[in-house]
Amino acid sequence: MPDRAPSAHASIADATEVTISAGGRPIIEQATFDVRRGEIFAIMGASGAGKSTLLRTMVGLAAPSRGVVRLLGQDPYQMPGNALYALRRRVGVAFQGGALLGALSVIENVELPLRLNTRLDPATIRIMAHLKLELLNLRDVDGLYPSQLSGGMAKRVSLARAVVMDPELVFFDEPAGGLDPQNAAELDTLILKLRAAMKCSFVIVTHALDSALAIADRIMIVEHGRVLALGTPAEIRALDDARIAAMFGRTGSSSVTERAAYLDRLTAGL
Amino acid sequence: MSPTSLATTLQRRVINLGAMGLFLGQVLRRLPHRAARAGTLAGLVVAIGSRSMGLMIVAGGFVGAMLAVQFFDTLSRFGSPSMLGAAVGLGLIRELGPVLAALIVLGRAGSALAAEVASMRGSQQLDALACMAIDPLAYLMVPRLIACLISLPLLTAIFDVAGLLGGMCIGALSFGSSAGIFLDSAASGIGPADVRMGFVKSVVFAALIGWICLGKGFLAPAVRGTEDVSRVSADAVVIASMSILGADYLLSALMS
Repeated sequence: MPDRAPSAHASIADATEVTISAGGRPIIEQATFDVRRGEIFAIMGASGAGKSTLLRTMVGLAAPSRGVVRLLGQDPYQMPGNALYALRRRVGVAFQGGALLGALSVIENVELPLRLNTRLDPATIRIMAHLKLELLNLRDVDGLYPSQLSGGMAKRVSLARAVVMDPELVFFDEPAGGLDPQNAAELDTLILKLRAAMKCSFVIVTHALDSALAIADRIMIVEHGRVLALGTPAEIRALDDARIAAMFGRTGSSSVTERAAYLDRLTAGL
Repeated sequence: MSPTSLATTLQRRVINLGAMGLFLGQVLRRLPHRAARAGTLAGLVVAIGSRSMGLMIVAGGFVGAMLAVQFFDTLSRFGSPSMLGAAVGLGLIRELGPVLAALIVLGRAGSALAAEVASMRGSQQLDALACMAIDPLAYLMVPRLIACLISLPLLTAIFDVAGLLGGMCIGALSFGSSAGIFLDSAASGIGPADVRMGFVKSVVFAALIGWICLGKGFLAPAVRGTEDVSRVSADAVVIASMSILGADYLLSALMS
């Protein structure tokens, strides 16, 4: 069992001078950063900034044009197929729209990674899937199909599926995307709850500043494919940059008091 | 079309063909590992079969009836109307049965397969499977290809039987040919080589439908909505139907 204690130094994933291009056009340029064990790392930026593309590259779905990506210390683009699958069992990914398999029910979706990647008996798999669903406040949804779920529920089921193998690192693309503020805040609470319960690290791709400021240990801001800033929420707030100030200006609750109140609401009961 | 755009189009087509070839190779490499999952396979065979079963019976009946009408006239000119069963049976089993059954399955199940896989790509379900350390080719593509390979020969057999019955009915009702003579003629005229040719054709057509429809869906670039899904599905049907007709000619020439 790997040591999952939060550390100020141990890196669980990193990118070194990563450039990602599509059709000859750079989407991400020279991005260098690391994700530390146990932390919640937020990649922030406006729509089209290249955040989701960067996430796809980080999880081994789209090779960078230049630079090196390492997941749990290994380069997913320099590994044979079997080793890559072994690595992927230690990493969870929740996609923006949920990416739940439409032909499977909620419980079957959550059970799928366990069913195909382990030799556990079906009863044990069912219990483990239920545990994760309950951790995410999902009850009585076993028999529902993805088409019957609301956007928020689909995201939570997707997150339950991403964590069902107890990964060391979880990527979550746009947790707040398409959700009303109440559902988005609830999902933020659940991310904190999961981190506390499972001692795993999170990489969250988001455009929601409130959410990133409230739950992330560090934030990386991406603009037009370039890393604009990287630091703790306090460091980001303190930066003297017009573009970052503009981001704060666009949010409805940028004052310190309001953000503290938001964090209090999220962490109540944890 | 300018020489430059012609070259670009040709280059794109060669790249697409290469990608489809690699896709087929990857799927075939995984075939032995997936054949054992009988439960999933049975469900897919039933799904593909049930989509096309009724059509097979109706279309087969009409085609058999049409063949009986056409052949009765021709055979009567040569004084051999008693050979009607053999003529209808050979026309169905060697040629029309496999081709028309394949085109019907393509229209019903093949287009649905292409649309299903393209929509899974668009909604990141294929990416999600890969991220869960589940091989999407082995989990999704291989069972669907095997289901095509099982379903189409069975559906072709149903089409052929329905066609023979349709021809027999028309022979009896319109031309006064008895059912016994029709069936006896069919039984004596159709040999193992004819059945083998029909079977080989239906297996090859099933492979083409599975390969092209699944491959077009799996390799679809940038599926963003229903318009893209329907475009992928229509492309797959057009390419697969042309491939079926081309393969039909080649197989007929090789096996005759």
